[in-house]
Amino acid sequence: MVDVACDHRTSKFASASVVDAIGITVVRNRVPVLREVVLSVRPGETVALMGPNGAGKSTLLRCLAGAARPDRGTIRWFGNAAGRSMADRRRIGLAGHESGLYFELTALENLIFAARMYGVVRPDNRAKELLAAAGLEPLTNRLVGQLSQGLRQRLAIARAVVHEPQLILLDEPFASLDAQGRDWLEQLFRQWRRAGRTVCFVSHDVRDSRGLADRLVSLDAGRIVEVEPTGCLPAFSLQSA
Amino acid sequence: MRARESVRSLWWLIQKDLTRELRAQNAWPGMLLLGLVLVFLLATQINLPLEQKTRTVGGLLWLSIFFAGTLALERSFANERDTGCWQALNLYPVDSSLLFLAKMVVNIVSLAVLEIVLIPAFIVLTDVPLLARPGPMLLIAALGNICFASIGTLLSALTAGLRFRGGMLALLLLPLVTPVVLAAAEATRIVLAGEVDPELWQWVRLLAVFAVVFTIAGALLFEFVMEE
Repeated sequence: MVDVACDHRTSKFASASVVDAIGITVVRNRVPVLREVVLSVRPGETVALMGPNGAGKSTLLRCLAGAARPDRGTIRWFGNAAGRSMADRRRIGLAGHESGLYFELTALENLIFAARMYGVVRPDNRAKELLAAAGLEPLTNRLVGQLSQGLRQRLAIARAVVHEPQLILLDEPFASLDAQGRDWLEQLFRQWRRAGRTVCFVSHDVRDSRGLADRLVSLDAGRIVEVEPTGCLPAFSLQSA
Repeated sequence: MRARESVRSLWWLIQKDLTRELRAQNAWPGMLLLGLVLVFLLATQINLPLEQKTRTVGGLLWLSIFFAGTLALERSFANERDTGCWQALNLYPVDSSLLFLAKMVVNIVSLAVLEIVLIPAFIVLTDVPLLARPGPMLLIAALGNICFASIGTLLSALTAGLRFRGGMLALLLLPLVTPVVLAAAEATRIVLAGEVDPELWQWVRLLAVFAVVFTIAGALLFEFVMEE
């Protein structure tokens, strides 16, 4: 299956992908974090990035989002070089490992700020709508610094999709979420699938990933070691879960 | 249309930072306290006749503003880094030069707040009439703030990502800002001497050139500083 991913390097359909990582190598402090990673994510597809700690999942996700620049290789969004086009940036949403929220602003203010930055037409309405959907309406005017980790996680995911991006990138989105939060997020995944959104998320939980993703991409030591459709469970992931 | 969007984005970025500072008081109290301590120490130590005090007080004022202002500059990006907001900022479909300008404006406001407190404190403690000619003083302060904030914003962004960033900003900033402190101090001395001297406008022109060059360089270089 790794070869299948490699085929995208020269595939004539590569430009039809939402995001392509073409031979990505990332070196941090002289240690290779990603080595020649090749991955294409097609429109409407949900891909789970899995693997043990230090495998390079989060780095790959940040590279896909344009938040980290690879030392070698290219990232392409919608067929264009990543990071260049403001229009392409509007089509991508990232909820990273850290919340990216301002603790001194309220939940509502954080969402309104993000919505304004993305050029959402009615930022106030959109922010309120998202807070209601995330079950955070009673906490609208609460400072983010006063929220629990789980509530911040929900808010961070809401912030990442405030502009209804076509490509949604989430780093361990289920971490810190309680049962209610997990239900909400699973429902969101289903909504995104129905709406044809492309989702790429990092997870350690094989069950979550199997239920939500079309493909499980397993990394180890900076390399993609297995790409499996969710019909079967990769042996490697079972060991690492 | 695009210019209007940019101006709006700039305003929201500034508003966000000012709201955060007014609520959390991350930088201003420490900056003001350090500034007042410096002014108190320097003012009480110069036991000179008024004429000689008038000659030296400009340099002391600008040194105090530089050292105390560094605290505010240092916090301007450290907070963004600590909570992962830096990454989010980097991904917004906004030109990086706007992010630089927004931070720079917030830092200018911080320096203005510092000056509003320090200049009266200097007047009270030294009896030097720093605001006898408010127009030229305001011009010098405005240009000095732009220079200091533009260099400081760029270097603050650069050092915020360092693991051991404590004191690094002041070390990098000091050599770059020395010509600005010198020009502002000389211009202040001439204004306080009450002379209508063409030399004053030479220093003011120098400050203006620094302000333009540093602001343009900062806006252009910021994109590279933002990269991980």
